[in-house]
Amino acid sequence: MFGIKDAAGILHGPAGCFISHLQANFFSEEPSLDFYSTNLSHGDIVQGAEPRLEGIVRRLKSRNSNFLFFIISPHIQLIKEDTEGLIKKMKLKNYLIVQPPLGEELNAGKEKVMLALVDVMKSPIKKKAKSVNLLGPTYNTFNWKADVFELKRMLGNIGVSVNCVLTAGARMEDIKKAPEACLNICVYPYDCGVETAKAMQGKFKIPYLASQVAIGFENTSLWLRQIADFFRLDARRYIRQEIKDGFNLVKSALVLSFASEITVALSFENHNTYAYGISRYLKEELGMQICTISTGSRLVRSKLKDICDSILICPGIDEKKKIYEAKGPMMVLGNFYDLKLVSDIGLPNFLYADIPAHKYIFTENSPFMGYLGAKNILQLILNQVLGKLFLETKGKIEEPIAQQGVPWDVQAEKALMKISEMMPYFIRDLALKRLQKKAQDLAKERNAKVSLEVMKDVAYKYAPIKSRPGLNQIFQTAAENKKD
Amino acid sequence: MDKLPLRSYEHACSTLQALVSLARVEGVIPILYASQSCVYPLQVATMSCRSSRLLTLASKMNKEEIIFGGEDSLKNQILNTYREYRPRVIVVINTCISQLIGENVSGMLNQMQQEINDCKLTFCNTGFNLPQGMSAGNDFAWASLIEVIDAPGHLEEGSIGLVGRSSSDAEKIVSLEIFLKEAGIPFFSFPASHFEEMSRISYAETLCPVSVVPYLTCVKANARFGSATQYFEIPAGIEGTGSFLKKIALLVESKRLLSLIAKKEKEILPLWRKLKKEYARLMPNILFFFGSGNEFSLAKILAELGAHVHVMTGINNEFSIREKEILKQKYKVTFMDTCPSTLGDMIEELKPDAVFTDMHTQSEAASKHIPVFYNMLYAGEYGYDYALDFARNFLYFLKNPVYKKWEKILKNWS
Repeated sequence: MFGIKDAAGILHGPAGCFISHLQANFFSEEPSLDFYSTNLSHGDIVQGAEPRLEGIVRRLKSRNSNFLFFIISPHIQLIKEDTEGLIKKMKLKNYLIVQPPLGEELNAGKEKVMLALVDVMKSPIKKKAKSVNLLGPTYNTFNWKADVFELKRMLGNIGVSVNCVLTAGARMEDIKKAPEACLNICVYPYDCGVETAKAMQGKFKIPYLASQVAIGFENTSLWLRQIADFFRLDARRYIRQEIKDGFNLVKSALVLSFASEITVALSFENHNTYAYGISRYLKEELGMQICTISTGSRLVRSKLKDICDSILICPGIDEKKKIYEAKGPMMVLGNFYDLKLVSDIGLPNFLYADIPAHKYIFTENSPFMGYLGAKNILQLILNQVLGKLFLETKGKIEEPIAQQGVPWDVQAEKALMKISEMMPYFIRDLALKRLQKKAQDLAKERNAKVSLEVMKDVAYKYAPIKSRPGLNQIFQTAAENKKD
Repeated sequence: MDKLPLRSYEHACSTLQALVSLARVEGVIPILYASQSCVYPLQVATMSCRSSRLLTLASKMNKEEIIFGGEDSLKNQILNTYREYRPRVIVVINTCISQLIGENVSGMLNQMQQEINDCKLTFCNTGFNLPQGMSAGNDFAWASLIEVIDAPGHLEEGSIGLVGRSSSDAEKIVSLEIFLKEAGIPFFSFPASHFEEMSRISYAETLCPVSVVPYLTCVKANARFGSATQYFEIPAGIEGTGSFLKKIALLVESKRLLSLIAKKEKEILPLWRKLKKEYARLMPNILFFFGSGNEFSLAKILAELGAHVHVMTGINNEFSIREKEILKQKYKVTFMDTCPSTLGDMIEELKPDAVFTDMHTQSEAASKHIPVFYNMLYAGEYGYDYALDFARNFLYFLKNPVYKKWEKILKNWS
């Protein structure tokens, strides 16, 4: 509801819940919804919260809110207060009561609100030709604004207009008129919107599409074609141009040859559609190696088994930490917790792609969906990976290149060669040189030769991330060989 | 008149190769004697190849200096460099323009050497004088260093000099050094990361090049230090590495080395044979389209595995002629004599499953929906372990369906 523009919402619950919801959902922009709270205390819950609700509704009347949402907190649901009866008694005109499902996850809450909104929709007098509703983008959906911007741009290019976005950025008037669209499109079908689309199909006879995710060049094209076919439009010319542009980028010097050596971990517990679409795109169209995926959906897991053998359902932090350490991904896409893990473990590259995303600004400029989204993901990942690796493999601008006359043990040299085999080819030359130099520096500092121990100390600190998971094995084998 | 290709497919200017190689040796500072239009692209292009000392020193010739000579600026830059960094060697890389106007760099350096005693001054001519062989830039750069290494007057008996291609070989020939070290054979490697270590090549009795590139280097070293050169073959692949090391073992009569080779081959041959079966099933057709010298060695690894290999190379010296013969006779590699107008033409003709080429030709090759490999990323191709690792990874890249996927996407939507 936070994304609805001309309505007000009342959280019927404790003051702490109100602040928590605002803070947890605080992105770069304040919610569009005018949000208030009954600020219940312990006493209110015990003795009855009705007076508080009556009081706030009375005070809000003077503000002439176009529409009122009542969000009933779990506390009120638990004491089974007859909020509905009370609100009816107040004889309000435009309102909706939402009781978020207790104990269920984020997407269930989104669906519950959208389903509730179906009740305020009006049967259309006239349909808007070649128009669609976009179901699924909500205020707390990561990157919704950019995705919607791009989807609208593409649809506009094939002659289709967007009637209403359910719910982010919509006005109540748009929502009421949503049934005027000819087609509903579930933008994030692995998260929410499908139940609402079915309800609207039942009530208003609006067909819906939920089988395609517009992420990656091919899937975006299939998504557009489905819509074009529905409206009997010819989108071929537009799609052809976008595909051509996309291939020009993909085939360029810095993409395919490097991408196939890049390992990516995806963490999308709150964005199953991204988990599905982005992993397919990175693997199938860019050739990257998906080393692990976290998702909240078993359906998504079953659909991605062909591209990744390590798919976790809502893993805990410890489990995720273990898998990041074991796989050493060169890029992690995820939420705030992933960012922290990446920083703790010392992984070099991270990209925000899911909530929670504290202190993160997003606008319409950085889509992950559509053609621009495909280009954007590619650009964000490769620029970061290549840039950081460039730095990771270099000493200081004026640093000496090598130490003179530091002898090496054969076992240390063998270990160095083995480590080099685990480095991506595109940095192997310099990464190897850097390790060699660091080993020489440390040996000189210890006034010793470069031994296996020196090499080990250096490798755990300076070997490129991708090669670190294999270091234990290398040094274990080397130690055994040394004994022999 | 010979038909020239419509584009230049060589890896880069030989000046760039000389600059990269010299700039990665501690104790050596190269100075570009060139105009700004030459310095800027060389600085940018070498950034990614340098580990540290990222900035290029240059005497940036202006228009006036191109007409009247830039000797004063160059002298100043040499003195500045000497005072600031105190290197063991300063190498002036004499580029096209200064060669064109006939600057007497040699004479000038001789004169300056009288004033600077504890730093050797030398130079190499690169650029348009080496149009068909950018890797000759390495060779000329190394040869210029050989010129300033003091001859010790005696050679270490039974010692081997491993002579490599570019500065990146300094780390990579460790895979060969390990065998000599374990066998107790005295050896000296050239290049190395430090000039002092490189200088020890003067003690090597027999130089054994590991690449086709350092021909002039070996010739100059033989003349200066009294050593001899034995070109065996490039130690790449299992057979190539084995053959190279066995010939050294025979040369210095080392049973220990022979037993180390046998032990290593016993360890890796089962894995190698397994990979060979996989390659035999796929029978990939590979095109090497120029390179820094590693087009010979990578071709050898893949041909040994059973791939059909075609090579277009710009390197033409005594070593490359001998290596070509080995590759043709023993590995059935096909060398292309004439460069086509474009790489696209050659791909159309040969229908390869993968192309090894350079970054600037990526787009042209990728348009044909076949995997493209930047040859410069696959340097250090010596020894048993590299061959095994490369064979495994190449198979993975070759099977990467992303190229076919794009072919399908373009076909479906065009």
